[in-house]
Amino acid sequence: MTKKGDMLYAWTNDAEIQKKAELGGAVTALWKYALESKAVDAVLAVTKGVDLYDAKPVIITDPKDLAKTAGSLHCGTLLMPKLIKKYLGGSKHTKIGVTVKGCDAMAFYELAKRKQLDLDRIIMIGVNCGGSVSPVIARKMIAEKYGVDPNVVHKEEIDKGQFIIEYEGGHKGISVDELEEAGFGRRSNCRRCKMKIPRQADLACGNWGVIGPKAGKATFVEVCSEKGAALLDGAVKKGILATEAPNPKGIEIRGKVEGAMLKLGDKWRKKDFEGLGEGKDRLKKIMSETSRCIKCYQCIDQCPICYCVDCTTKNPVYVPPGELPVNFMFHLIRYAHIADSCVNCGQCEEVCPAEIPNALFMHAQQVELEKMFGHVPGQDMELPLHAFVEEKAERARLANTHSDMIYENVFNPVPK
Amino acid sequence: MYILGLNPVVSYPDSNHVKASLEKLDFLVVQDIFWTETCEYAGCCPPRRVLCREGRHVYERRAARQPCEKSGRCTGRVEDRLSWSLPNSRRGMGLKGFDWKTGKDVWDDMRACTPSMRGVTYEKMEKPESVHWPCPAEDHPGTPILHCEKFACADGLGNFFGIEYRPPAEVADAEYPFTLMTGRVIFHYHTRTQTDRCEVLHYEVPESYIQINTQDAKELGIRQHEKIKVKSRRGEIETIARVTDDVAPKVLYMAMHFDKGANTLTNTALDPLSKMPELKHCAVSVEKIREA
Repeated sequence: MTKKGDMLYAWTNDAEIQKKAELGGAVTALWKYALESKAVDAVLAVTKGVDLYDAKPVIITDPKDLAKTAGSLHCGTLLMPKLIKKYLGGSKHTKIGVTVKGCDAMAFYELAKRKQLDLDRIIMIGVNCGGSVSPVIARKMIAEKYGVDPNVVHKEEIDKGQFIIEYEGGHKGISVDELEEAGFGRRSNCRRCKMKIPRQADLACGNWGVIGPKAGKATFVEVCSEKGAALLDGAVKKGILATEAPNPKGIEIRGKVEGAMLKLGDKWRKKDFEGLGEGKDRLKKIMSETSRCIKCYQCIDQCPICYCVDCTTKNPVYVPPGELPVNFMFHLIRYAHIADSCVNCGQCEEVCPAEIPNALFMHAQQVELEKMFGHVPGQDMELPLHAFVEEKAERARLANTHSDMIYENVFNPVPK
Repeated sequence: MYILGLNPVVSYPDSNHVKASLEKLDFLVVQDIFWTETCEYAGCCPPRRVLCREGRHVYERRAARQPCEKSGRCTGRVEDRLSWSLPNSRRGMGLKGFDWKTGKDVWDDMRACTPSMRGVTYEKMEKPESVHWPCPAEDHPGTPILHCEKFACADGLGNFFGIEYRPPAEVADAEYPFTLMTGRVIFHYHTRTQTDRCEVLHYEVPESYIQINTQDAKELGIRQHEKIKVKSRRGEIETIARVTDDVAPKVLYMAMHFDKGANTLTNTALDPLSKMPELKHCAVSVEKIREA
């Protein structure tokens, strides 16, 4: 029996999964067991779309279909929890298993704090993530830096600090540092990310720390919750998963890899935030860049913090409709409502048709707010200021009291 | 007359003239994916059908084609999977060669008879960077920027030559002292047949407005967002004034998207060479609407 905090090597005994999966196929095997044992009704995972650069979300209910979700796609830039909120009824009626990166896990907690998802009905298997690459950048990078036609690449991976491609007639790796120096490589938010092993998930899996005879043939699993322990024990009991104690040296290596990634994250934060300047210079920069905004609302649509039915950016008193460049209040509303909880998932930047570095601006503000108020988003269920009230109740209170003092009752509780 | 995917009541110059002419027709058929202002003049409007289940391709102005993945909300029925207006009406007329099954079939037929698009395959459009036309052959990489290498002149160089200035057909005078320019706004496309049905875009610009210079507005006593009357030799409209310094004194700007809007005022004079109507320039007057 495993318990929270345990670490082990795991691999599957299932012949079918072995054929397709990477690193021993532990994650795929765990999902197979979860579906068969009805621990979940469905698994939300990612599969290859039209090509290697197209990650597509997929709902799996038949364990036979799991094979197509095996392996990783580093050009996938999806965020899973908002998809569950928007398209799967916020997990209120279905038990869903999800494979998550660090940003997914953080976004799950933020949406759950806002009662947009029910974490009791979600099982998360976290996977280590060193960062993802935007599809267009990836293709350009492969053509220009690797001198390879991106259409003939059939596999990519990030290993030991290198982005490696396999294609008809060979394979080639270039260090991520070198690629990023040349303006390619990981998304800017991923470079600043410090959530490399998502321990908020029920299980945190990855290849870091798998050494010795099991290297490349097993997955390192850290048990992060009782729910995770039960899933793992069940899969082992069923015979679909095999485990062994990890090599202590492996645990050490895993820690070192994580430490190095975090240090790199700090380096990029320093570089990116310093590049924004300070005080009025920073404000000017943000105002000038956001003046390109065409009000497509995609940043709001994709943001895992945004959930209001009536968005304040659509209040004509604050933001006059039909005017471009949009009144800066549009962006101020976003900053005021989101910055305390921004998990730096990068969606707002990824989808922006005006290519505004939205995530950088929001993240830069989040780290300042964290210094001031000590709130760390995405780690646990601790509420930020904005989650102290429930939208409907707060709107009703404002309407009933004819007040426009949002959160007044939070700051000054009504005397009994 | 058979009109397909066109809304001349709104998009053509001198709307009053267009309407009067349409009324003179013996029989008018208007086929469009949505009900338009022009449908009001039709004797027959075949059912609207649109290829949306299958995913459709947006033909962008910047000249890249991008696939729109199967739109989630479709107003058509499932059996309308391939119910493009064109093949249906042509089949109905007894024409052969329109037995398309998928959106790709329609697309391939379209590019087969369009030289500048011949190389724009579905496969290329599915790549994140898509493909820019002109793309005359399947092995052609597409053309993100035109005329990079050479112009279509004998020596490959662009020719500059002087032309003599000719004033527009109609210029401002004492009776119509303002020059009206027309154009577009980013929130709407053409005559809003599609975009005004989109809640978000309708919210941004639900009705027409006219931009007028601060100084002119002051002289005429027009306040911000006041409803005003604008007249030309061809018609008159009421619209909302947007007082701004984005336009020069004695110049007005109005988007062309709205019914009973800019094109009620515009002139049908044609450019002798291109035959383009003089949509961007006509003489108008502005007045306050007197309270009854």
